[in-house]
Amino acid sequence: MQKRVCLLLMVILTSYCLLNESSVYAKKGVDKPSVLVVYSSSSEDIDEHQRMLDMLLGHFTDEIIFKHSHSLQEADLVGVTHVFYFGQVRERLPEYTTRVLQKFNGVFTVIGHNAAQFKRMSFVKQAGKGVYSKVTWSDGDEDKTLRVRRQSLLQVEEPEETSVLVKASHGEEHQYPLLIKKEQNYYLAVPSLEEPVSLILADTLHDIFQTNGPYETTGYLRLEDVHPLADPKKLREIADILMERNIPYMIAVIPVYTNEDTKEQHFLSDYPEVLEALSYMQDNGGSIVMHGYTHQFRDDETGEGFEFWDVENNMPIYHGPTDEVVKKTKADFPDAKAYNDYREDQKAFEKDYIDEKLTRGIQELANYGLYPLAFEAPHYTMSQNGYAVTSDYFSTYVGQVQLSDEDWETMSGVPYVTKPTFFKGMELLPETIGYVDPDDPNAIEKMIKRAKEHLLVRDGMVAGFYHPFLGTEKLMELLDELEKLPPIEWIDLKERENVIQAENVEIASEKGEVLAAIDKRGLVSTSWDFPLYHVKTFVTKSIWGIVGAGSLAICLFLFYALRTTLRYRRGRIG
Amino acid sequence: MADLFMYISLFLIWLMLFYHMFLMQGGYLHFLHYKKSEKEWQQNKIPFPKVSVLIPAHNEEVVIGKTLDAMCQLQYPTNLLEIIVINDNSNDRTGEIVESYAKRFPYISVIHTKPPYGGKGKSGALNIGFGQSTGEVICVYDADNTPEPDAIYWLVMGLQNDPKAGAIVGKFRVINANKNLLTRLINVETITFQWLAQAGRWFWFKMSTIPGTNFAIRRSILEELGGWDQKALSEDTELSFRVYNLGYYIRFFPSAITWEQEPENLKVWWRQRTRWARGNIYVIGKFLFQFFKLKNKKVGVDLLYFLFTYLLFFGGVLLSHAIFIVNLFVDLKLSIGIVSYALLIMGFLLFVTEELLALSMEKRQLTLKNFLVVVFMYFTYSQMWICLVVYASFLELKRILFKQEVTWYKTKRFQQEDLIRKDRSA
Repeated sequence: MQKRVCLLLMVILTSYCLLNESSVYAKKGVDKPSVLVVYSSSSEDIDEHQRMLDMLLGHFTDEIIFKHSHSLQEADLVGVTHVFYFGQVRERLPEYTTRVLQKFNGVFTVIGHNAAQFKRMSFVKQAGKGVYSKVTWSDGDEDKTLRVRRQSLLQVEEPEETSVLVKASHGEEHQYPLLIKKEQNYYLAVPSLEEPVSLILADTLHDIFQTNGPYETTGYLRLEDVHPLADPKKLREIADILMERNIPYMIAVIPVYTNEDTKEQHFLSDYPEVLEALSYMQDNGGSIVMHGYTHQFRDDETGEGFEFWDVENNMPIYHGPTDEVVKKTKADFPDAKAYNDYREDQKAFEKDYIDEKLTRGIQELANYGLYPLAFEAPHYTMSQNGYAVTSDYFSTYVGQVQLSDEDWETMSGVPYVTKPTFFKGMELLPETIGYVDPDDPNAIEKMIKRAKEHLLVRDGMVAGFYHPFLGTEKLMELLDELEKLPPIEWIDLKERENVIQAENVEIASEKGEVLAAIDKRGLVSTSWDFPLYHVKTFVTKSIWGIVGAGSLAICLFLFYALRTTLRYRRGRIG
Repeated sequence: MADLFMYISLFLIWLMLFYHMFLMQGGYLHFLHYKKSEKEWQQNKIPFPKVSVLIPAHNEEVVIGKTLDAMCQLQYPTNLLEIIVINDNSNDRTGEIVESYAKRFPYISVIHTKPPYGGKGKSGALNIGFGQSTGEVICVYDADNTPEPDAIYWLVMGLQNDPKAGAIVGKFRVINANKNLLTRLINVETITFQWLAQAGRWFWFKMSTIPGTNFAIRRSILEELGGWDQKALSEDTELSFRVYNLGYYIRFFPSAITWEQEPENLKVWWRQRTRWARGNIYVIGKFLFQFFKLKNKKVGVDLLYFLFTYLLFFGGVLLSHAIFIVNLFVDLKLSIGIVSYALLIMGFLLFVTEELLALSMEKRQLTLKNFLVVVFMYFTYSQMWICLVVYASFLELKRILFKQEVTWYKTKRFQQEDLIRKDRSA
């Protein structure tokens, strides 16, 4: 049996490595695009803006190269099918860069500033800034309108021989082109990709990459912050409702709960009813998502604390919870080497920390027979290095993405499934519509509004989360509303290819099946807690067995006693 | 940690309770079948052997007369019967009374012993009696016993018809059961002991324990074994083990009935039972360390049983009591939850139903009064046993550590009033 599982796992692992593809092209058997992004930004390093673009492009290809406008080489263009120039800041582009890009004869898209410096973009005539509050466009089949908060754009004149793909307006008199096209050249008249631009670009990128469909709206519902003190009854009720409605779902499980006041740690193994409820859910449409190990770094309450980010110092975990934190910059070091060494040390510390948490979390869950198929960082906070470390363990990440290592609040989602390069091979199933906030009476309404916005995007995703402690009422209300929307294909993680690896544990899923190979001997050598849990489970079960057997004996003996007494009375014996 | 102890105690206790359930089932099956053996044996017409009845007596003036009266009523050919009373260093009228019977009945004889040979306890007295006896079959009765007339007959029938049986054990009943609450409790206890432990073990393993009275053993075996172990406080258990070891089994046959007196006050009860408990602990020690030298490993079944009863089961109960009490004052954070209540209730009900079933096998014993006694017993008498085992273990440990001499406590006898109704019809 063990051997068979191992073999199957190997097959899946191999096929996964060979066909590690999620781009729309790979699915449709077309050569996938190769993208070069050239960007102008204040610093040369890749920052949140490029990462946002990375996420948007990652839906179409995982061959994306980023080059700062000052470091572009001619060789960077070899094999490239699509070039994006992202003019985040105004600058005088190096002449070499414009010349190299001029030679490129594939699809060329300029975002934001500096468009006029490319000869092929001479049709873009900038004329100051404009303000818009409504966007309209068409995907060929459908006219789309999006009302937004007032935003600014770079106003361009509308030359004749171009087509306007997306129009922005503010009232009747202010009409601006937002995305224009001339031949193979596209221009997006904003220097930033935050929402709503990300939604519009996400949809129109289908035109830029000339995808043909069919498009599918996917979605998921994630039950959030399920920890050892969760109410198993509520979990089961929710599971039954979702099962009844035929909606597969995710359960974000935190294996350890820490009490804020007493600091006492509660492990799932101490709550067999919660474990049973989770198993029940896993068997009936639910998939486990590991939501950190303790959901805290210092002594905050589980579910409240940040596990992979030091929120007090707003920096990654480069130190122990009680260590004094001294932030140093490049200037504090005599030379670049000293600084680099310092950075490497920090990253190594962070890696060890995450390694330990993820390994222990995966091992514990697998030991309970709960197989996490994806990861979600607590509060979605994690550094770039963190994502890289996580990609050694998980192949799927769920939630929104922290885009900056400087500030955890720089966070975003994308409207569809993607595989940005900074995820190092992980696939992102973005959360897009938020959650049912018990303090907000209009929470569901807001979620539905967000859902509708995401429905405008081809391959758009409608994904939100729900806290099971709220009970079933709000959930049903949310589901009722979601079901009124055009049909959503609910994601079942088990149907997707996922590979999860930690020391002594390998888990894979595909086509509805989850396979797990656990090296039990290896686990025992890691910690006695693992076999102890099974001993405890066995003991608990056998105690109920004792009660059963005892009851049976009692009934039997009473029957014998009665029979013997009757026989004496009837004079058959004695 | 508390959890671990909790589960250990739980499993120890329930392992024992399961064994008891199993034995009770066997006891019930034996109850259904043993009457058939009676009929078979009677048809076989095997000749009667000579029987020697040994009655060790040390200051038994209160009861010995009644015992000998009962002996005179035995339905067994008197030419094949010798009754030997070993008047072991008595300083009361025991010798006198026995002499008066010996004069009247030719098959009754008496041996008077004095130190240094006599007065060494029951085993010593039995060895002396055995030395003087001539019977092929040796029966032993305590001085307070009044066997029913056919008791010897059934014991001998059993041995004659079953060559593999080295010894045969009859049933004893409490003559003073209705005297007071204590004797009522003992009555319930002895009935259950015999139907559960004796009949149950006989049914499943062809084993039972010689109870010290109302049993018969082949002379040849006693000779081979060299008589009784004088160091043993419970010479009967010790003898049983050695009989098993020879490869014989000990049959339990409830048709051979004797009535015996049980302690009427707690002090006597405590001293008598302490002797038994110490005796059994001695036996565990003696055979456990020689286990691999034993020829017949079947002894292991009983050895394990004793080991369980006296060390593990009582240890488990003590542990569980301790956890219960500590948990009243300090929260031990036990994770066991609701099932512990189910187990508590189950344990109690199991105790009650087993006792009731055993009582039902004796005519007119399953009464409302006895039912109440059983319920009461669980909370008092059974708990007293725990203290007793702790005390006995302590004494035995002390004896081994300080190499003390064993002194034999002789159970105090009580004058029986004839008013006490005896139920001999079962």
